[in-house]
Amino acid sequence: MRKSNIKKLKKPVKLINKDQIDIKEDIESIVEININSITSDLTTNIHIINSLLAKSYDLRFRYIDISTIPTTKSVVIYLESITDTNKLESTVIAPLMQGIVERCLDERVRFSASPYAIVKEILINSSIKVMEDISMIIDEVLVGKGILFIDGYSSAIIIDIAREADKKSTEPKTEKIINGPQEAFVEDIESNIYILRKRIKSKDFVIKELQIGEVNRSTVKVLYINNIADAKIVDELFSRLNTIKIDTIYGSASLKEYINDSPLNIFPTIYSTERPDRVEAMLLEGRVAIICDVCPIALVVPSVVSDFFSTPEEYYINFYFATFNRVIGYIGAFIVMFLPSIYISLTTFHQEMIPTSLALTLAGTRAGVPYPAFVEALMMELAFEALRQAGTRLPTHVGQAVSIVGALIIGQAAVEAGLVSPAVVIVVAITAIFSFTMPYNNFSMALRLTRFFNMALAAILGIYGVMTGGLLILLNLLSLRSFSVPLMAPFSPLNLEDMRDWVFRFPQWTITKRSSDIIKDNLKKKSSNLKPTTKK
Amino acid sequence: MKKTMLLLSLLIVITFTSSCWSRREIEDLGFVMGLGISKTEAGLYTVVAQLANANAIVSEAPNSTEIYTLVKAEGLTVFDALRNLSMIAKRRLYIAHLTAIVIHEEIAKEGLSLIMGVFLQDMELRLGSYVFISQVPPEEIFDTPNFIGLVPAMGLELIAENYGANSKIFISDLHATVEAVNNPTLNYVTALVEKIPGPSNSEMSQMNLSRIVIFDNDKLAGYLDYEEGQAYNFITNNFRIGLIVFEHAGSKDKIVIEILESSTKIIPEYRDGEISFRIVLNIKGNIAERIPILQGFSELDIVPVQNQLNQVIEDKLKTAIDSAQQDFKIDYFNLSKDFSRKYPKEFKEMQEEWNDIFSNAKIDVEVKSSVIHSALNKNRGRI
Repeated sequence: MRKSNIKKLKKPVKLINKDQIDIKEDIESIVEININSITSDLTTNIHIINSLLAKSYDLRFRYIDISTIPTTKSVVIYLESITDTNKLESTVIAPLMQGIVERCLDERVRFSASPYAIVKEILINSSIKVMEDISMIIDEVLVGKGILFIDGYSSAIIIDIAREADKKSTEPKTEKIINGPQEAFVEDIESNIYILRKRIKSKDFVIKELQIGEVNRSTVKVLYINNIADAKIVDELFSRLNTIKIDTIYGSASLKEYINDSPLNIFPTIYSTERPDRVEAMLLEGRVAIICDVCPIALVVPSVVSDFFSTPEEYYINFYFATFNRVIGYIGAFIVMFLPSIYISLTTFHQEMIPTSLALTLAGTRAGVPYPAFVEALMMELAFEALRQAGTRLPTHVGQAVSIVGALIIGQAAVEAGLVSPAVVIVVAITAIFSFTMPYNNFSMALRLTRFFNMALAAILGIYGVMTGGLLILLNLLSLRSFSVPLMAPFSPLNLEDMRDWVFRFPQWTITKRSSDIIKDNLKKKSSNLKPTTKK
Repeated sequence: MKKTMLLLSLLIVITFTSSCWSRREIEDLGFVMGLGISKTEAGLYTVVAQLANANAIVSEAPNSTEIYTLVKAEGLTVFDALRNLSMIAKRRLYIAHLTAIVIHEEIAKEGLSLIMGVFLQDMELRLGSYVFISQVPPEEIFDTPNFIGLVPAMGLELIAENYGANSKIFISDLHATVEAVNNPTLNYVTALVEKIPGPSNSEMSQMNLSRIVIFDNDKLAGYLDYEEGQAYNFITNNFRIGLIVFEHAGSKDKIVIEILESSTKIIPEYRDGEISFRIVLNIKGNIAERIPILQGFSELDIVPVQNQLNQVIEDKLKTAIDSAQQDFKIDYFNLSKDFSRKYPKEFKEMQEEWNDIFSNAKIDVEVKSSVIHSALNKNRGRI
């Protein structure tokens, strides 16, 4: 059933009028109806709800017969991912069903009292409301309430069966921030959906589910905001996901390799994060997120290069400092790629480019070092990478010990023994520090690898080699696409409007539009620039 | 595939045609900081190179004589002598960081064009280094260790760069030298460097830029003292900051005006075969110092001071111009540049005997000064 739905999604759904609603038609085709309140007909009500929350895989209907003679049908509607099913069973379903047996014959025969009677006498839930307005009802569903419709009554009973705050979510491990929420995805996919549902309370929030893996069937969920995300990108994602016919996938990381635009490229074109606030922000920008079973990492497509340089923290702090942070990140990228190679080319080819006193200092400190500058720098860079890896593999406390020993050996002993010059230690240290300023690990890994390529070119060709390496990297980056969106946006194609939010961090009230690089329609975020003013 | 091959072949071609193969490690280089050129009695050229001793420079407490070393060799030409140095120096000589070139007076008298060829043609050299003339052998100038840990050639460069604090001296860099030497109408000018004994017994001897050296094209013709040096800088628009001292007409106080800005306009005039120049000087300055002679401090009117300053500078310039016209008969202010720009055709004809024409030209000087404030004095207007 679900699979057939996915296939039908290939074309963007059209908006249709209320008159044209054919309830028997597939619910996929209904996106919007102008009904403000519910009717007394149960079937109609169900269809209204169904159409408004059309694309949520976790919308559940629980049909209950309240009275037997004549049969009065009723239904409880709820979103499974954010409701507490135990609560639902004990406070709603059990009383209603047991009630049939317990109720006296008279009541069973003519169930004529208003719904309030049931509310009063049978339901033992603590928080109960009666509502008629359909949009308010939808809002209640989206925060985890259950709604009870009874055939013949044109009001809905809202029952609080929301799940308690999930204690399972943990602190982020790789994308730490100081200010802001300390919440990360967990291995349990239902908890992750719960986390996101709690954050995005919109009827347009779509969650689609599919199974991948022939032997080991893993659940994969695709999330997007229906009227924001580009339908073409959603279609493209589903078509790519549907072609994956393998025995099993190993979490989102392996899924990433199957849907990548440029599978062999060193640079990532798919963003992955463990932070729900990041996913929330990106979904609202019109991107599509993918969550896998037993994996605490969400994938987001399409991604652009500026994603790899920003953190959610920048939205929780002063925007001047946030912009400064980002600029440091971009400078860091250049330093990580080029600093060691520039050092090599300057000291072995272009000594005239170094200021005189620095040239003399470099010459003096390198005196007695037995290796050429390239070998020296390569050795130190490899030593640093080894240290870094050792630090992550070992238990926390041992890891610290390793880094102290490493720092002492490399910083002190190697220089004193005359194996390396202090200048190269500084170069490697600066490179290392700047490689940590980039918030996104996968991207800085790619940059760290290109550094070795540049170093080799610098050792052979000097600055000319560094320029060649830089050009090759740049050309490569410019050729990359992430789900048909250029990876280098907003730099190329240049989009100054996007730069305000992506490269710099302008005050949030100045950002009135979503990026036109990612989505085509519904760009408007807010009506106008909402700069706060003091009234006189 | 074709595209890849094209790209690959382009890459290889560019790689092999670029000149980046001369790889050398920085510690193997001998950084030549100063270069001295003189001549032996036998007519051979002597080149002395001051190498910075990088090892000593980075050590914690370098000895003032350890931070540099001098090597000296002779050769048939300057380049030959330079190459002969490689048989003595333990490092590959690297002259891209050259800061100072000291040329012996004897060679300057013969003409600088004899030795400038190598500086013009060497690819490693940059034309930013300063050129000095010395009356003693250059190695003596370079062998002036100091207590502030500077290689003497670099110290010489710093002294040269400080000329803007006094404007009494003028130093040409290698670029200006090469240009003047190769242009028959330009008369070259640079500074004389001397070695003076230290002020006390424990202090070592020091370098001093004592005079401006003037050339008849590329041949040394004479020296200018500090007074004429200031006038030279005023006329050639090279005056940056400098002091003018004079006696106040009314109170006989000594007034020191610090010139902060100076701009010169030279207006050549050619009429009925007569050449005249009008030099208009616009200067700005403040009263930097005042020595009361007769009575204590009294109020000082700025306007008379300005007028007197105009007169003092005018006299200074006129004396200098007279000396150039009467004593040297050389246009070392290079007024020919301004004249040739305005009258290119006429200049071509008189190019050969320009120095004579200059000596007979009428040169008027006009100074407009404004004394803008009395420096940092609490009693505004009353010094």
